[in-house]
Amino acid sequence: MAKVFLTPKVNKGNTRKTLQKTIVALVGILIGLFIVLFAISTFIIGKKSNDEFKKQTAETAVNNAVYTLEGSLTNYNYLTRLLMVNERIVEYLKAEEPTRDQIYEARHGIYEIQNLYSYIDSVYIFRNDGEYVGTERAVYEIDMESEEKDHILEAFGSTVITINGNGMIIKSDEEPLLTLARAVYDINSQKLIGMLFMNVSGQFFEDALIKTSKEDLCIMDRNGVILCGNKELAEYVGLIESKEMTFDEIELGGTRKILAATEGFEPLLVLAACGTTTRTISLSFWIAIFIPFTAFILVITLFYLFLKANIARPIGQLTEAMEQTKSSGWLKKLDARMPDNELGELSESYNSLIEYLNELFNQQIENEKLIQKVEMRVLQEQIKPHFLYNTLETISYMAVQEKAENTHDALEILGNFYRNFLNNGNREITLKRELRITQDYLSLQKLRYGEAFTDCYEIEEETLDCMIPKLILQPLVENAIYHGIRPKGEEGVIRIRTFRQQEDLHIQVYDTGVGMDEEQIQLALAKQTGDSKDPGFGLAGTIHRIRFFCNDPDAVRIRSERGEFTEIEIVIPKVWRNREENSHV
Amino acid sequence: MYRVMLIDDETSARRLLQESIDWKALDMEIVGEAASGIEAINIIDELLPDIIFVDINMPFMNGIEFTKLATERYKELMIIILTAHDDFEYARQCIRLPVVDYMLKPIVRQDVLDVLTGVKEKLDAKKPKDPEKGAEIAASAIDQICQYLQENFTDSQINLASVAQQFGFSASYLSRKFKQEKGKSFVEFLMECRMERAIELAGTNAKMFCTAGDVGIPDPNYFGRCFKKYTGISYSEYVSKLHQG
Repeated sequence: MAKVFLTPKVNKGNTRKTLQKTIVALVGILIGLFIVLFAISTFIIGKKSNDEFKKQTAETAVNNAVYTLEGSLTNYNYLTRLLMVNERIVEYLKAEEPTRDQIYEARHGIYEIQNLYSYIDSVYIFRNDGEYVGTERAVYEIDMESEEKDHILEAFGSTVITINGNGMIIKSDEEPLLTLARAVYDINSQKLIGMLFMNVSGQFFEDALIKTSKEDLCIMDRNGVILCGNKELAEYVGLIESKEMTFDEIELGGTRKILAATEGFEPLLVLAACGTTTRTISLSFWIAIFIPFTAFILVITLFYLFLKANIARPIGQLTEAMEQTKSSGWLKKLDARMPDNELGELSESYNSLIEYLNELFNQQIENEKLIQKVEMRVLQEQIKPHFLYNTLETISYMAVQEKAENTHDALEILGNFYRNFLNNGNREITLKRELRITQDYLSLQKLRYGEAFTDCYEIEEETLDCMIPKLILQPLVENAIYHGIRPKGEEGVIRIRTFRQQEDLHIQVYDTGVGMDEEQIQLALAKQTGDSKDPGFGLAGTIHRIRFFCNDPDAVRIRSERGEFTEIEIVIPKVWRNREENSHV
Repeated sequence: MYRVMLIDDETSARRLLQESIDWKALDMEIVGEAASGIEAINIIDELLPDIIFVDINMPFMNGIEFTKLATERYKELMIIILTAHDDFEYARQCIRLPVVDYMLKPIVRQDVLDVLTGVKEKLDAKKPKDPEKGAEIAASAIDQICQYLQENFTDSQINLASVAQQFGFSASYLSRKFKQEKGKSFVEFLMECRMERAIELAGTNAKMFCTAGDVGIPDPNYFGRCFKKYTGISYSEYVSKLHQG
């Protein structure tokens, strides 16, 4: 099994929509949509049914009113006939000059009949000569010159029903009256002998119809004169054209109502408006709606559960297993149990892919190992460059032969430097050897740049055997030359000092170069890792190595004065204690 | 004879190149050398080389920066980069520059010869240069240039070619006219500006490398030589003398 570092991506799990979440969202949206549609349709159906009911209610109210009207008017009509044939009245009408007795008798006759029914407001019997008897409870104004008189005469004895006699009769308190008027003929001679008016109080209809009805009712004539009921309905009089029932939606008292209207009983119009309804939508209606609703929710839920169990959950498990593989970095096979379908296949394919990858990686690792072995051999050859040393030896000999002493010295130093510098790849060497490398390095640099600097050493004898990390001094003096002394343009001094302080080894590299300012010092000390492209790599990289070796961030200190000097001090702690411990072992 | 200039901070490297190639046989001569890019910028106007060997790793102004400046100012220049660093980053930067070749140290004579032969062929193929025709230079323009130099000598990259380019004159004509008007060369005038300021700074007991940077010669080695040439004594002697006095 291979350990690989799969690209450590930022975990997108929080922002990415999982399949499960998508399904939940989808189901949620579906249910929401369905509920909204359901509410709308219920509202529409409810409203329709409600309107229908209101319509029915209004119609019934109208019909009831018409029926009552018919009934009562038949009764009142019957009374007018009684009046018409009443002997005392007929006598009064026939008399040439009615005597006081006759008048009295006539009035008495009227009263007898009038008292049969309440709500009869007044009765008038007119003789042809304009004389009349009447029973009245208030002051009336009767206009016998009105055209209405002709209408009554034209009816030839039939009852003419009007409200307020179409304006002929006005009661002083303006209470509306239903007037039943007739022309009276002599039974024998069939001659017109007078006229009869019976006024029924509007209050009768108010009490009989309006007060008993829950709906708004209005009875009126075509002229808009209201007999009784809600005056606001009067404005809809124009709707009625025939005896057919007419319906309309109206706005009454701030509520929406259904109006039913018809010509009830010539000439009376009956209007009824129904707004509120106590009836709720029928139970069967609710059941009819509730069953599909429940069924739908059930189906959706089942659908969701199915998707979750058969697709979302397996995929979730698969993803989780893969995620674990990814985060662990091991190319492990999945052991999540998958349903035996495409998902199972997916899981199997993944596993076989992992197997194949592992095989590939192992092969690759084997190859790498082989290559590394070969490369190591080549590297070892490079680390011990016998060929270079031997050739240097030969050239040195040639130089001696040609009496080129300087060249011989230079070659000797170079050979020595490389031997110490490469040193079998040991990581730690003695201070003595490190100093040797540094001295050789400085000698070679002097050859290159002439006597641009002098080097001096103050070495305490007992420090020479201390083990230090290899190549920590050489980079420091290299830094001293390139960044200290050469930029100054004057001859400089490089001084290396080593001493023991308690158990610690101190190594100081001092140069009289341009110095470093505080910022440069901080930068050199702050760097954690060296970048080979960075010109400061030598110093910063070395500082990093020393700190790493000593396991102490304070192992390197830099003191400097701009234009005067730089001193880098390395403190390797507890060298002597460690040596004692080692020698005891 | 084609004129060759060597720029390397190691004296021995310059000597080696000088000694190991038979320049005469190539119809070439070494007309000068510089130990830094700064020095090279200051003397290139007088040397007027056709070919330059330049090292990359030099303090104050490295070979790449120098090549950029020089090829902007002298379009015909053949530059060969020589470096001990077999470094991809350097090679990548050099590819963008109009250099003839990029060679690794230590030098192999035959390789240098091959490159030089190629360079010679290219130079031979070029038509002899027409004398550059620049605008007529009035005496007032020279005064203007003097003023410009007095104001800008601290810019280490300034030289005859850059100033000529800026004022739209031909470098050689400007050089002649300048000497004619002022009685001293452009280069001498520029150095005078810098050295007079250096003497002022020496009076304040400033460190040599600081003064060098302040007067526009950030290479203190070259500055030191210039100072000694100008005053007759070295900078440090000059400073200590002032103090004793």
